[in-house]
Amino acid sequence: MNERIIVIVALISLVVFFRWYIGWRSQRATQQDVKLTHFPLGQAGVIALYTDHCVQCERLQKPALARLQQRRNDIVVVWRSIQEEAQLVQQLGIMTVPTTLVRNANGQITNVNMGYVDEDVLMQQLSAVSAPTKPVRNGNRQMSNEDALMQQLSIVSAPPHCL
Amino acid sequence: MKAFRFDRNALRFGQISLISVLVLGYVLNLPYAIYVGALMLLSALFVPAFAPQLLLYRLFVRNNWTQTAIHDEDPAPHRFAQQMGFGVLVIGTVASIVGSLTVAWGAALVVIALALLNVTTGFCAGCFVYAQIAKLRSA
Repeated sequence: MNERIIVIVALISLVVFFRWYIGWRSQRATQQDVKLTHFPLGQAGVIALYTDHCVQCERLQKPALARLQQRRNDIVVVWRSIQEEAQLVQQLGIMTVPTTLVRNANGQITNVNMGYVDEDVLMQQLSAVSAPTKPVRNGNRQMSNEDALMQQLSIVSAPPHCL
Repeated sequence: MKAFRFDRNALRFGQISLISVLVLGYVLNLPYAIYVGALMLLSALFVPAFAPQLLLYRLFVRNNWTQTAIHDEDPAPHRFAQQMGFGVLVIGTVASIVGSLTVAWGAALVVIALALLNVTTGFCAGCFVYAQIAKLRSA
């Protein structure tokens, strides 16, 4: 029985270590001198990395980013496949998808989230790099045509399988 | 895509229950725990109203120990993870029935590790594999 307890403790330690390692890699990625030029300087936003067949990217991350844009229509969201961004992925040591990179107005990466994050976390990260230009809107409120157009324009591209 | 009102705490409680059953079974060397784990996942997939862990959550845990964490989200990724877990536990069950306890407990340990990762970090093992394959292809 003792050896079984040791196996379980080792397994839990491995999981804790892996969790810490992902956090450490994410933290280290923000310290890299990488500038993201996926959208114009002067604008903060999120670059979401995905792969084909990634269920979490399509079913969880994409709706979360859409909800984020409903709350912050001044930010830009760009979807890129990790094969299109092989150099960036290697440079930042990205391990999984979906990964979201939060960029400030100067093009610098301020947060790297490896794995799914919801819009509340992204809102917090974005509010640290740029204050909303418009008051936060109630998600239930009907959008005006102008708002809807603004939102459509701010989506630069979306994964083909998500369209 | 169809979004549902989805209680994340119910999912977490289900995962913690599964981990507890499998860990106890492993430590006490009770292969029946693997069958119970497979049945828990099977019921959560097909008859969630009668899944023992969800019944326990609804009757005792919700509103007593924790509040609900309702989100509008697609349950498909969670169902996919449950299907994967169920598949691995079926392999464990079959291995246990034919007498290969090493394979059976190996399968149970895989499920424990992935469920632990998922409950603590929301880590998606399938996504990790896809990302590694895509990185290898582009390299």
